[in-house]
Amino acid sequence: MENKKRPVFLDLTRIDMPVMAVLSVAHRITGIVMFLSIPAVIYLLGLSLNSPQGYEKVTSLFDSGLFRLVLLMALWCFAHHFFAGIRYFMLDLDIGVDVVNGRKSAWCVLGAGLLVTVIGMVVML
Amino acid sequence: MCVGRGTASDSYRHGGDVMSRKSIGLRTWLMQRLSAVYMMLFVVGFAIYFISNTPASFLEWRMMMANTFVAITATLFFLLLLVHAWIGMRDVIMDYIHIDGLRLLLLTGVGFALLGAAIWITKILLTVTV
Ligand code: HEM
Repeated sequence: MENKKRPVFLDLTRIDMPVMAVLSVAHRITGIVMFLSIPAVIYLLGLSLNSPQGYEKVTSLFDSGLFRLVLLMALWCFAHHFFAGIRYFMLDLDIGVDVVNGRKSAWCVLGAGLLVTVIGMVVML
Repeated sequence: MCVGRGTASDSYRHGGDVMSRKSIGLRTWLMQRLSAVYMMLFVVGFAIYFISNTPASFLEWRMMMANTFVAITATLFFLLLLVHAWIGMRDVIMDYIHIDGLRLLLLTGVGFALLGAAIWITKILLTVTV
C-alpha cells in the first residue's frame, strides 16, 4: 500500500483469466447482487403474506415477461453462488486443490448453475 | 484444513496470518461458513417442501408460512443470511475502499440497512397467523 509508484497491470482484456478466476469474480458479483436484492425480496414476501390483494399482485407479476427474466437472473445468481460455495467448502477441506481438479470443479460449478437456471426456465414457460 | 484462505482484508489486518491475533478473522470466517451451511440446508429443504405442497391460494400460502416450524426455520434462515451478507459485504468494502471516511460510511450504511432488514423480515415472518 505504501509504494504508490509500484507497477500496476490491470488491463482486463489482456490478463489471462483461468476458469477459477472467473468463478471467483462471479462469486463476489453474485453475492453483491443478492445483497442489493434483499429489500425487493422482503418487500414481495411481505406483500404476498399480508393480504389476499397483495398475494394477487405478487402472483400476477409472473405474467410479466420482464419479471420472469429478472427472476431467472436472480435464480442464476443464487445457483452460481450456491455451487461455488460448495466448491469453496471442498477447497477448505483440501479436496481438489490441485490445478487439474480445481479447473474441473470450476467447470462443474458453472455448468450446475446454468443447469438449475435452465430447469427454472423450463418450469416457468 | 486450509483455514488461511482468507480475504485480502483479513490478511491486511492480521499481517497475513489469519489464524493468529485474537482470531477475529477466524471467527467471522467460521460464521460465514456456518451460515452458508444452514442456508444450503434450508433452501434445499424448503424447495422440496414447497414443490411437493405448492400452495394454490392466499390462504394455503399463509397456512404454510404460519406453521411454527416453517416460521422459525425461515426466520433463522433470513437472520443468518443477513449475517452472512454483512460479513461478505464487509470483506468486499475493506478490499476496495481504502479511504477511511468513505469506508466507515459504507460499513455503517450497510450495517444499518441489514439491521433494518432483520427487523423487517422478523416482523413479517413471526406475525403470520391463520
Ligand atoms: C446457500 C447459500 C449460500 C452459500 C452456500 C454461500 C457461500 C458463501 C461462501 C462459502 C462465501 C465465502 C467465500 C470466500 O471466503 O471467499 C460467501 C461469500 C459471500 N456471500 Fe454467500 N453464500 C450463500 C448465500 C448468500 C446470499 C443469499 C448472499 C447475499 C445476500 C450472499 C452474499 C455473499 C457475499 C457478499 C460474499 C462475499 C464475497 C467475497 O468476499 O468475494 N451469499 N458465500
